[in-house]
Amino acid sequence: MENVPEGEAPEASGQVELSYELGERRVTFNIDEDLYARDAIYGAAYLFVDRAWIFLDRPSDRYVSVQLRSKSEADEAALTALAGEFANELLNQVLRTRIGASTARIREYYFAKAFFTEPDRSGIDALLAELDAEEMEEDPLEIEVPWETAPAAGAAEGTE
Amino acid sequence: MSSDNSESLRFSRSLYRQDAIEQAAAAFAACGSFDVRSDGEDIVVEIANLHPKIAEKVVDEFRNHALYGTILADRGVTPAAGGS
Repeated sequence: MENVPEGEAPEASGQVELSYELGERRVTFNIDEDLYARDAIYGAAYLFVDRAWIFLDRPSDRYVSVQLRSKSEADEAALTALAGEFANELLNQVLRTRIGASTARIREYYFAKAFFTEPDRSGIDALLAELDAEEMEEDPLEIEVPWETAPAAGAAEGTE
Repeated sequence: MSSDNSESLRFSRSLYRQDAIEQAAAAFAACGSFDVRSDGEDIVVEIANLHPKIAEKVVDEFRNHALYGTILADRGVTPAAGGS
């Protein structure tokens, strides 16, 4: 992070570091939208809305000015830390967006598989159902009795 | 903030949604008068009749509310009653 005089253009320093300006309980910095997409700026702002009053402005086409005004008393160190945390969160949001985009197809595949395929029966259930089906085919009423144990056979032997 | 506790705020249309600003104006209507109008690339809010003790804080909260509503609308989320 680099503190630059009020009004100096962000690219004038020629460094990659995020330059910021300190004011009374506020810190202001410009963000290049080519590096940090507006979604990332919104994402970071969303997380800081409880800690600071945030105002976004458009100083030029590519740049978004972010003004953070601390909700509590804050000295220079606290404001610098606030700006640094916001910058870190910006990076985090950019990374989240990129990972989200690169894994979108995998997520879609798993969601589609979870929601749009028939529920699969467990292996044991399927096996039991298969056995039942076989038994029903062989003896639909399940009343078949071997001829040796049939009462009629014993009665016939006793009469001889 | 001027001596009569009125202020004109400019919001870039490229960063703030007008419907979110109008919702914020409605939410803060009890604190003063909020007149929302378009002005080219900006949305201008004329704020007046704020109580001097809370004027600065109301303006800051109004800005936060407008940004919060914009972010939620951008994500397709309907803001809950009570806002930020």
